[in-house]
Amino acid sequence: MAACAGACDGCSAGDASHAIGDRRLDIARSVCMKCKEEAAVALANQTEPMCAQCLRSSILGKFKTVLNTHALVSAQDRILLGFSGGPSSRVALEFLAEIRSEALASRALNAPGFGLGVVFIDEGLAIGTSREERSRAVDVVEKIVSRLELPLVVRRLEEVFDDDNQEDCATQLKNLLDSVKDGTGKEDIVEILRMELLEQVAKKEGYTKLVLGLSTTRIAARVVSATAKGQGFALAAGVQYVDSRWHAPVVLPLRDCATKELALLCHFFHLETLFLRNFSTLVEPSASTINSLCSNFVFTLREDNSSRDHTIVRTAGKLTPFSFNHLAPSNGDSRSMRKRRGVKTELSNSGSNMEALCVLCRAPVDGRSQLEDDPRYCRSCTLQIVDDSKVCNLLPRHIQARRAGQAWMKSQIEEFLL
Amino acid sequence: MRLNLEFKGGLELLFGSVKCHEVDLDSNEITVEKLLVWIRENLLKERQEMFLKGKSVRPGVLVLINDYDWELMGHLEAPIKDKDSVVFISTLHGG
Repeated sequence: MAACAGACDGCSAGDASHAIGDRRLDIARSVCMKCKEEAAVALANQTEPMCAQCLRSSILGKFKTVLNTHALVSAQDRILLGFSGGPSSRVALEFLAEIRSEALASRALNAPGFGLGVVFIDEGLAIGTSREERSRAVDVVEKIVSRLELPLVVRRLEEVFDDDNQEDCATQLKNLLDSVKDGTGKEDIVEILRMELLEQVAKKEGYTKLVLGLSTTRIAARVVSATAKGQGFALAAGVQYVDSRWHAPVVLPLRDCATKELALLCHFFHLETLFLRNFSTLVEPSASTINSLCSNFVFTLREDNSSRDHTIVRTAGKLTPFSFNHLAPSNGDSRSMRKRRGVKTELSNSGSNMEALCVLCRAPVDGRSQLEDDPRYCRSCTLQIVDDSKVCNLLPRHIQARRAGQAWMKSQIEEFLL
Repeated sequence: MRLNLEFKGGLELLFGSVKCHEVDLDSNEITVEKLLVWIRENLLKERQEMFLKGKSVRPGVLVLINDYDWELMGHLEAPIKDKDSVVFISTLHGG
């Protein structure tokens, strides 16, 4: 019952109690406040000293609560997890696999266990990672996922261009990114393409929900950066537990967990993670993008008071969500089951609130925006990415072909389109 | 004293892409604050702002001493002894 499962040198239960006496700790804080038995190893939930096992239970509890409260996973669902290799998605992977195993082992008649698969998007070409490093990364991911005996799909970001020729895809991605001069714009477009590709995979492989490992800390950073980018109208859309703008609704079960706790969990329980560079790795603060500035800002805020990211997300959560921030009413059936049976998904509930979405980032488009703007794009994409028609023409063809306001509506009724 | 230092979550890039470092220090017992100074002067030759900020580590970097959160151990004043393991984990690439 040593905190680190006894696998590292120089640490054991015996050493722990000796070390605590040695370090003249405040006695009240040296014992896990949940089980009151084991030594506390981490400060979690802002002020609670916890042992590793209770930390795990706490996070797993939050994970399950989100899934249950919002009825996010039913036995008919096929869940696709977007795995980036980082600590948040690694925890999501571990917990989904565990919950699924429990459901399969359970003798309950109506719990055959939901389907579960993993997708890894290799963004190495966009970032400029070497071929060897990309290959090593995929090897690590394959190892992690195969140990859990789950199906894995690996896609390269450039495949979002949907061209049979791989070289052409790579060239198209390079050309698009080269044409976006602004660093923040580059990061944002990579994220947009990633979501497009995740949606494509979910659709192609028949998944009904897409789980992403976004933590409180990351969402807080997004709230701040969205504010800085003038994305006020759409802000509420991306900070909820559920986002149904996508073919497979996106679900965020780690929304209530801070990155720190997830990283500690991975460390204590030896959950292998993968570090991948992004555009902002090793970039000096003076050359930062809005996204990394905001991320650094949130981490700095947490220094004095680790509840600040929670506060930011809670505040943003007070904005009125959109109709797509709920799952469609299902009466026990999942939406996809109803579609398969030819039951028309009820649009009446959301019909009057059907928002026109940016064909690029899916942000609801503010109807009050200027008349000369292309109605297909939101203000933010117009200013940050599309201000140049050259860039527009380099976007994936299927995105360019979308008509204004089509994205949301189409995803609702596309099985009925001839 | 001999220490096992580990750099994870991308920090290894600042230390020659090597995660584990076994190091020898002259003192018998130091604080984390002094260890950071030692690291700055002996291991981390450049890009110091990626790991350090003032006397402490950059926001987003977790510090564990023998698998204990340094926030429970006195933060910068936390004592470090011979054969201790100190792990630095960057959470900036959260994923």
